[in-house]
Amino acid sequence: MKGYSGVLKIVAVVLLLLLPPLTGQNYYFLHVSIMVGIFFILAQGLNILFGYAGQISIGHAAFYAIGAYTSAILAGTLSFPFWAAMLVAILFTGFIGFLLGLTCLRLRGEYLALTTVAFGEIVQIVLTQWEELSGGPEGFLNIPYARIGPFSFDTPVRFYYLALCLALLILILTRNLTASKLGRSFRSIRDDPLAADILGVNPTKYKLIAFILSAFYAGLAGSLYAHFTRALLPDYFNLPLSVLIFMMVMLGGMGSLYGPVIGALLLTASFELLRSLEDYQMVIYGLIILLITIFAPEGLVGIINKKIFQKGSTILRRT
Amino acid sequence: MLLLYELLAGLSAGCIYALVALGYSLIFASIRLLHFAQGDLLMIGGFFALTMVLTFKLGLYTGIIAVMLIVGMVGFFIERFAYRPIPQRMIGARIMSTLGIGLILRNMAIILWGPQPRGLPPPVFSGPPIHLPGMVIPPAYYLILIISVAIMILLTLFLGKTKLGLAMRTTAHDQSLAELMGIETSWVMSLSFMIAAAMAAAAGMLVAPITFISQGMGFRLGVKGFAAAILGGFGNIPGSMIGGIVLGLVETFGGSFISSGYKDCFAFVLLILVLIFRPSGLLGKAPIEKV
Repeated sequence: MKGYSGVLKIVAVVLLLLLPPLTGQNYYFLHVSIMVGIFFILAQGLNILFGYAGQISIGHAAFYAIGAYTSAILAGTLSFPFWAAMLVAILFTGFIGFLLGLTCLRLRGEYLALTTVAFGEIVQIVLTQWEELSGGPEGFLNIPYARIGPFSFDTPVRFYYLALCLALLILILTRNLTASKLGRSFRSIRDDPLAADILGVNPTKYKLIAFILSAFYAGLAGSLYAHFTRALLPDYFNLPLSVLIFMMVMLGGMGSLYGPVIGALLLTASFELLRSLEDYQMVIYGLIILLITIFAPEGLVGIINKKIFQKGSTILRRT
Repeated sequence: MLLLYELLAGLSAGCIYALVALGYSLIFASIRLLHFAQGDLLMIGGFFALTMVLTFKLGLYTGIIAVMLIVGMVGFFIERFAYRPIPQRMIGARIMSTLGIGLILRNMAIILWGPQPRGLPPPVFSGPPIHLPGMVIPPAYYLILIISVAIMILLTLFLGKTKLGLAMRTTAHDQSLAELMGIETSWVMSLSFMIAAAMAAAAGMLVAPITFISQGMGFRLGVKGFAAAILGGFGNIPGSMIGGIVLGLVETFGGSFISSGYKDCFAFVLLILVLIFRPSGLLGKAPIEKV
């Protein structure tokens, strides 16, 4: 079984690499694929926080927005190079994640969910109102192209490969992180904070680490988004976006490495495929989400494991 | 004079928040669900009110009763088929299904009533305007106050004085205990949810003089209702009323004296402050963790 799943992974990566030539560099298709990549990074970040460490967040669009705007302001207004803007954006978002984590240490479950909702709303309102910094409701425009040295990621194909590389990097990083002592500590504070504490895993410390890591991911995704669309609107980072990220983690299967891949792919693809239904698009979309939730409350990874990989395959194992 | 006017505006907004907050508290107390679609039930209530007034020519009072009944029934089906199948311990999946319902309700509203924001015709909220020295209070403001306070008093009496109300309180307190006492908890839980849905629907009709009815109105109003419920202590009925009114006042006065652009922010800042310093709310008990 092990060799089989290895082959599957290589095939998947090769397919992803060949995607632009195979689809004839179709702009729409590339755009959707890049967004899947960005959403995957975001959802994986939330997966670390919620799926592994058990800290629910429905305000993740706020971290995404902070990453995007920091990167945009640094690269646009202060003309930092792309990589430096991205790095600072990631670190700054992580710092905000640390602050939010510190604020929310005593909260859990529904109460934590609410606080993160409020946090998301506050960030969105501040971005709309603070016009000198963010450009206000008209948006932050003319963000420079992503560029490393003389090479500029100025076409969708080039940006696709940048997003793909970063998404794969994030996947490998997450796999290693969650398979390490850190991942086990996260799971222990999720399953039983008291027992974890007794065994010497400090819940406060690991909750904070989860918040910071999760914000790092969102900062990276935000920075990518800013340099991809090259224009930011505060309205984009609203509560429904936070909800979408949350849904990606939940539908894919929380606490599993490939859950966010499935979630990001499924929700983006079904949204695009249902476009032809026009008015009924969002109703059917909502219905699909509801039905999956009712019949597979543990996420699709759980179902796939049960139905297809019954004999203890490791490919999509929920850890 | 301006102060008095602000006070009245704050109070009427506060009463709307209180109605929404009551719904949240009722649902949280009875089925321990964080109901993210509460604001969308409010929106649906507003649109049904529109139909009742424009198509069926109902007045304010008959209209509000009809709307509460209809949305109450909608609530029954939602609770039975979307929320009950998911076990209570799966917090994430339960929140997901409320989000899914919210999405469906919002977009059904677009299909049924169109995407444009609509308003109730002003004559619905008619009555003699109150003349005070230097100002005239429009009838809408005091009507909102009177009707929502009446609904809250009725609910309090129902929960406190009737046998069914006692059954609801027992179920909220301890479900297995209630079952041992011979209470049909399954029906009681349905009923709690239906009442909460009806409260949201009433708020949806009453909010019409303050803001337009649009498919997107529910989400933010819903989150503010949350803030009100938390402020008063989640799951605590009198607390929710006080929380709603405090929130309405803070928002109106903050909006006119500090900054109108950040008006929507006050509710959320207040929410976070309360959660940090007094997670149990102004009157209530919430489980908190020691760190």
